[in-house]
Amino acid sequence: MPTVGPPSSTNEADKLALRKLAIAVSVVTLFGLLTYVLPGVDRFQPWVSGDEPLFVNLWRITTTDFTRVTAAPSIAAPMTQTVSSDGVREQIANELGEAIAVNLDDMDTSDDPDPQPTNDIFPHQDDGGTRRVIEESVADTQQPETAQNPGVESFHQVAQATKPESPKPTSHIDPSELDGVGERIELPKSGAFDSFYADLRATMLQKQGRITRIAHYGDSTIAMDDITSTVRRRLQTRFGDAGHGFMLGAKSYQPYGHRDIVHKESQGWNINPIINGGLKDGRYGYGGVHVRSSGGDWSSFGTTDKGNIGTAVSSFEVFYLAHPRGGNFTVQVDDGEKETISTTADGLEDRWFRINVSDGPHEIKVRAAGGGSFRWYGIALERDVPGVVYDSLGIVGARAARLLNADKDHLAGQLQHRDLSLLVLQFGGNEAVDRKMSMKWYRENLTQVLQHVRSGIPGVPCLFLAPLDQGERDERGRVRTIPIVPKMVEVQREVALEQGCGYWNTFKAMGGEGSMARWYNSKPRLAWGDFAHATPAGYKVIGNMFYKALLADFDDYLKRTK
Amino acid sequence: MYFNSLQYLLFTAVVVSTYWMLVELRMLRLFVLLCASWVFYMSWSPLFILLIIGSTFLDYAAGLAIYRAERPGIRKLFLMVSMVGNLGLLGIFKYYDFFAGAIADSFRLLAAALLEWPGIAWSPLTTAADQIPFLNLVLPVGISFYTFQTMSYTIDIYRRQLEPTRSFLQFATFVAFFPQLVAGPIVRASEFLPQLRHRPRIDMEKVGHGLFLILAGLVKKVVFADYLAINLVDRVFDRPDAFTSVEVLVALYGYTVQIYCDFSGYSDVAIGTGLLMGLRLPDNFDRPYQSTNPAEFWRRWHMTLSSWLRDYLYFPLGGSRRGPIRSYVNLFLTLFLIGLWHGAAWTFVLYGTIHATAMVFHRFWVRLRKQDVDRVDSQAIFVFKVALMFHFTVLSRILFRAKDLDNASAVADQLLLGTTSVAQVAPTVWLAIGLAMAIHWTPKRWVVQVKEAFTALPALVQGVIMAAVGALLVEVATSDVVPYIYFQF
Repeated sequence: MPTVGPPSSTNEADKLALRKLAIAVSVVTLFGLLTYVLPGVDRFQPWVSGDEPLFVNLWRITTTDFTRVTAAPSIAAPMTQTVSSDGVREQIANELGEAIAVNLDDMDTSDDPDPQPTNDIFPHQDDGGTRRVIEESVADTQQPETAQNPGVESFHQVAQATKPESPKPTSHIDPSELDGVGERIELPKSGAFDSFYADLRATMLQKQGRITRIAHYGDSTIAMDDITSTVRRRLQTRFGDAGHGFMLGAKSYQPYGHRDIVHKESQGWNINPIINGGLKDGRYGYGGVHVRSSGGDWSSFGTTDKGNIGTAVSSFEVFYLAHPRGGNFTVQVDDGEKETISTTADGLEDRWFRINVSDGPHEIKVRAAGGGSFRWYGIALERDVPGVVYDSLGIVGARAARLLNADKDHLAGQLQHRDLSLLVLQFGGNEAVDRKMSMKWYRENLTQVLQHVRSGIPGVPCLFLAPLDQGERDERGRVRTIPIVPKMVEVQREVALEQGCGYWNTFKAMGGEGSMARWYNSKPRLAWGDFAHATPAGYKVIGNMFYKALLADFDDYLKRTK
Repeated sequence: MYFNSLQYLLFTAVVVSTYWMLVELRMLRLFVLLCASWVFYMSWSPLFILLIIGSTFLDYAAGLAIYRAERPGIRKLFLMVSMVGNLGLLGIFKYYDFFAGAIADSFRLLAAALLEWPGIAWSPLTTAADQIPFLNLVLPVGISFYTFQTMSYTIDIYRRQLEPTRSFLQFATFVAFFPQLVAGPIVRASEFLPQLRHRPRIDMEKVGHGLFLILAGLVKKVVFADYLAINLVDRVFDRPDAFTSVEVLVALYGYTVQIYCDFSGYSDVAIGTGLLMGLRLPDNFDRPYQSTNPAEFWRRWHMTLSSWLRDYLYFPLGGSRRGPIRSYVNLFLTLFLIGLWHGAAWTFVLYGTIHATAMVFHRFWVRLRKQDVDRVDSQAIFVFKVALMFHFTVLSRILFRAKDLDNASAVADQLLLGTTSVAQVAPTVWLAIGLAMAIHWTPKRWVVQVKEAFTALPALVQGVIMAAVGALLVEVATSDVVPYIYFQF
């Protein structure tokens, strides 16, 4: 109801009410001012030097005020402002740097590997339709393949279209591919990565059977496969998709997941992550997580039908442990026959069970079949084509020191079996919480870790990645870099180079001190409010920057060895 | 300029002080209020102020023209001009690209279907789909709110329920009044213009209630909405596959709390700011999660939008006076449009459809059982109904929050997995959800009593409480101001 009164002068009620309002507001203002005078309460100061100036930026006009620069909206992506907008890019470049702006731009292609995203609005339906054609054609094509048999011809045409296309052989890196390269890889000595780059060159030339395998260990920043999926997609798009690579047998409660693979599991798996220790034999497997069941539990792994990466597989390899009380497990590919494998052995013995299938979309189901305890580590999905395999090996809560929980010989065997071209290690996010950690101890421990991990594969180049910047609130609530982070980064760099590993400074690539706060405040938001993790968009920026750092170093190699 | 920013508090302090200093000078007072409102809006979209000014001129003129015209046809013509202008703005900026995309998608689907038929040319369809132009315009902040306000003005005049104001200044201030400009409540001219016409009055109650509502709104926004968004909800919707079913469910509860605290918190600050200027804005929420059925929910949630569509869409369509079937159709259409009002996306189309279906089903059920709507349920039945309605709301929020259908599907898939760990839900998140729910389900009179107690306090004590709450907000606040959810609508 409107408050209507006679058109008289201000009455007493108004005066009293306004006086009360003025007093209350004055008290608040007084408290606000006291925070600038009294010691110990400065954290409550409403505004301090360094905060964004009040009002001055409020009426700024930018190009993003009016139009979005984006592809046509569709069911899959309605009405969103894309990062490719010039205004957004300009703003990111100003606030976070040009390299980050460029690599944010690159996000669109890495996020959706579909080569024609704007013309293909129903990728699921289309892929499903294509697959149906294959299945029907397979059923119909019992006759020999002849040109007169249109069914056979269409089957092969469609099948070709479904599989990831191999890139054309090239012998050089186009300068445009390096747009946005920022922080470069630091090598212990010139040529330290030559064996890796030689493998990559052979893969780039599409030489038969030349697969370049990379293992990337890390903590929670890797466990959800955000950085690594970006690098994997880009490497596989550029050099060829030789399969998704390794995935843990089960994740159970852990926040763990991979992109470009379809994974499901039952709930009963018993898991022992390497971070917990507890396994006397120290056999945590290639991925650092030991998985066990006495029967009934299952996990399935399949190719994805989205995009162009991870859509095909031609071999599944189960990593498991045979032991005296070993049980059985079964494997079933698609709707085929189940095969039962015994895991009984006289002693402890790491084994691998491999199934080859026709190159294409497939799913495998691994089930613990009783008869004892089935202990396993995971599964690798690969293709017998030239390309890159990028194993994402993130373990939530991991510190580098936890790798010492693994039995040295067992770990060496697992790494040797993968026939790696490059080993990547990225730790430090969880160590940053240990505010009082001595840098002397950290140096010694990290040295020990690198020696422990590399002992079985001394000839494989090793690359250490710095952790992300990590923030904490200062006494007045503003976010700053945790002081130990830059110290750790410097120690990591020195130890890595001493031990013959390369070093890529993620912390510096993000923008150094204070970058986590800036990433958090950016639009789109690149970091979460825990100031320890990036958003998927932020991880993709890091993934793109790391990919380009690798590519730039590879380019140097190509020029040097031409 | 978000309400939960120092800038807004300073801005409001200056505007309110100036407003009362000019209380006896009506024209100047309104002029200052209008300028302040336009300046406030320009902090969101500097040039989109032209849309508000254009819309204001259009409806001011249309209102006078409708009122002065004698012939029904001419009156209708001017009303149509107003409708086309307002809905045209909304259509161009909010819905054009969505419908253009839907048409293009349909063409492509049709082309794909025709491909199965030999001899039928289909490529022109895909060519046509590719040639449909898109505007790629940014959605002006608050457009869904102020266009509805101005439309209600001309419709009320057309219905002869309201006399137009001769004062452009009053009308422009009604359209642009800054506390409710960008996210409501949607104010009717019939309840707001008379307040601008007369000298405002303020008393102890308005001051106390106003300050209390501003404090409560800020606490809802900062302590509950932003905290839950940052610490659980955003993460779950960004990577649902990283969370277990129970964690996803907790995130959905969290989002249900978040959106209520976010939007009702905004409304509280808006209403509170209005009260400090002696102006009353309508209530927008009435503890919606205590509802026992969809009809009650929409009477308690975003009440000014629901009542707007009831008065200007549902009733004109015939309401429930033209038989049950027509009543169901009208009901469905109204709820469907409420869904679509929230955004031009397939998620909102589905959200509206689900709520419309639930509403129709509820009406059908009541008719079937010949239930007395005023019947009092037993305690157990009441609790069951509230729990059922609450979970219907929680689950439908998947569509409200998801960025697209794929995302909604991923969240739903994860929810159905049946995994049970809650390791990723921090104790403070549990506390925030639990506390917010507990407050929501306390008797309404408790909050009224607290509000009255605060109002009765001496100014000094009120000031100390405000400072203490301010310190709490600084402690809890994230490092940056998080935008209000309803600004995007």
